[in-house]
Amino acid sequence: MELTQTTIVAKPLPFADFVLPESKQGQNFLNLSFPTTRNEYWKYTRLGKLKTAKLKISQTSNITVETINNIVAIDRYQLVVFENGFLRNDLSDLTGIEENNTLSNKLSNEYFTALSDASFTSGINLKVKANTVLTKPLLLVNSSSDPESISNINHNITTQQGSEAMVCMLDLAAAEGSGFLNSVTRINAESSSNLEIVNLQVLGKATAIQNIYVDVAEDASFKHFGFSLIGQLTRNNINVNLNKTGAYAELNGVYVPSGSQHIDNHTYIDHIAPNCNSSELYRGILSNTATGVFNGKVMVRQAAQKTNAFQANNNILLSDKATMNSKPELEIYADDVKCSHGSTTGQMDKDALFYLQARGIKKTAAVKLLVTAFADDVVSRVSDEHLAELINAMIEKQISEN
Amino acid sequence: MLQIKNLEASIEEKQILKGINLEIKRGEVHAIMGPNGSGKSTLASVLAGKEDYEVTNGSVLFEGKELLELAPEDRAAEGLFLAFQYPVEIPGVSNINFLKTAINSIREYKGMQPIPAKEFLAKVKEKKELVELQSTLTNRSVNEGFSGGEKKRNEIFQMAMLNPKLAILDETDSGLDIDALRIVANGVNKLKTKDNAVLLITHYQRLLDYIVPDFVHVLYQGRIIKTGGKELALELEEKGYDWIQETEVSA
Ligand SMILES: Nc1ncnc2c1ncn2[C@@H]1O[C@H](COP(=O)(O)OP(=O)(O)OP(=O)(O)O)[C@@H](O)[C@H]1O
Ligand SMILES: [Mg+2]
Repeated sequence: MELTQTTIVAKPLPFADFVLPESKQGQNFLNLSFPTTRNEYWKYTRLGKLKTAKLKISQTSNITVETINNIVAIDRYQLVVFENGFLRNDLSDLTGIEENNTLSNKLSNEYFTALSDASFTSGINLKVKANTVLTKPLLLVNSSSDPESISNINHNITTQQGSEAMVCMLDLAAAEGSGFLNSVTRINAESSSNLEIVNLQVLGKATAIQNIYVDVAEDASFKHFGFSLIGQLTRNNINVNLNKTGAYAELNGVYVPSGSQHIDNHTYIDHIAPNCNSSELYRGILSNTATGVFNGKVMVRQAAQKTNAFQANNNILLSDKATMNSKPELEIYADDVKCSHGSTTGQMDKDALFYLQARGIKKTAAVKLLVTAFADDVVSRVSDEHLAELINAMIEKQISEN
Repeated sequence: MLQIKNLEASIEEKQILKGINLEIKRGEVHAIMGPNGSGKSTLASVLAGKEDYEVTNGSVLFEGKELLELAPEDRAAEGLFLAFQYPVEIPGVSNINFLKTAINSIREYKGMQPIPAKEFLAKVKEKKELVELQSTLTNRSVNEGFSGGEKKRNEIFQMAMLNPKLAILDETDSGLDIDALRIVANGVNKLKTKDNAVLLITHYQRLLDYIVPDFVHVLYQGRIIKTGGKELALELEEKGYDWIQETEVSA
């Protein structure tokens, strides 16, 4: 979408020097205020640095196929690349995909969603046709290469009735970069369709805020994996509506913040219809002075009888200066439901560590074995084995470097 | 092979080992018996290098090296093996991957190349037969969901794979049924050579019928208060520990 400067905006963005195009989305955004930690939704994630950052729209093109290929072997995928919020046509194969340039008609009251809705520069519209299978999975790269850039991206993905698709989303920023990636993805899993999204985040020093909104229809299945490997400040919000009977949602994640990184996952699953299942498994491995947040809310509406909702969040702190804030929230208005949630945060299992060492395994290798096993409970759920292997290797590498 | 001199150790300020003296030579089998809580597992853990315990006095020489200065993994690489009284379950780490990592770490310590895959698999097969370990167990996560007896068998299987110089078996017999006890004991006997040694910790004379010790020690409140031959075990079985206590105190 072209950013036109036809209208001026009364209140400039706190962190970016640009004007919004005239639209009701723009007006909507201007009515919202920049979130602070006084806001419950942002209690543990400070955005002060973002607020004072000097950011701009940038059309720098730096990223190469090799950079991407070094992380995920691209030959198995249909590649679509965005850099600093703009489509890299030269690197992308847009077969069956349109560039998104229509404003969503939804008006969000979430600040960053509203921002992206009002000012996004690009994104995809993907519609997987009814009863078809996306044979080559999509590799959707969202990258930031300019340390001063703000990227607003807006994707729409629909899997039509009975269709099946896998999308790998790679969020990427140069290690030294400090841009801001703000993305919104709206997903519509129509009846009896299956969609799996695997999101890899290798975000260097960038700030990344991601909002995902999912509607799941009758007997459809939506699976999401978030692997946050590196990220100075990452916030992922996933909101799922289980709208019709038999809808299924599975949200999984592994986050491995080190140094002074901060990774925050907020999930919200709304059981609206009866006979729906949801499952969440998030695991964190935190080192140095890293901080993590998990907030998982499960809402079970009165009509949502026979709901089955499972949620677990487990964390290992590899240093006593790392901290984790974990908060499961259940709100249940139906009586015939099975819901369970559990949250654990602790040090590495000392007895297990000693057992491995007593068999000759070096302490560092033993830690690696245990941590990889801990993460593998999540990783092994990824249906593509190649990808699962790759993710395991990435996690292992991340751990060994800390 | 092993010389323990005046070893004292404590945990959370509480002294458990109060001056242990023990010498084990190549080719020997020693047994340690003693009432619950007397410090048998503590001794085993201190020898293997568990951090929780603080050694406050004494020294331990293993093959001429000061054992207490080595990291647990280096003690294992030097040839010390502890079969745990309570083997730990490690979900997500497969038995096979674990053993291979262990063997290769020890080989690396000795400056050797990693074990060739074929040789490793052949060894697994051979040693599994030695303790009649069920085939599927090696593919499962380490000890996860194993029965008590299977865990003990798995310890001896690991011992067979690692071929240590000194094996400390902490109550490996408890939890084993009569047949399993015989199989495991036979396994240990087959692994016994004139160059290695075994330290058995047990409550029951029964095990010592299968693995015949050269020496039996009684550990009582953190001290070895009596040492004898294999007959001592029989005597203990008959008379209990009170008898020794009395004779020792009066002596
Ligand atoms: N982590 C710990 N914290 C506090 N006390 C401990 C700890 N570990 C062991 N102890 C104490 O040390 C003493 C010796 O324990 P140990 O396990 O060595 O006994 P044991 O001789 O092996 O007994 P058993 O025959 O029951 O296996 C016990 O009194 C025990 O309670
Ligand atoms: Mg014991």
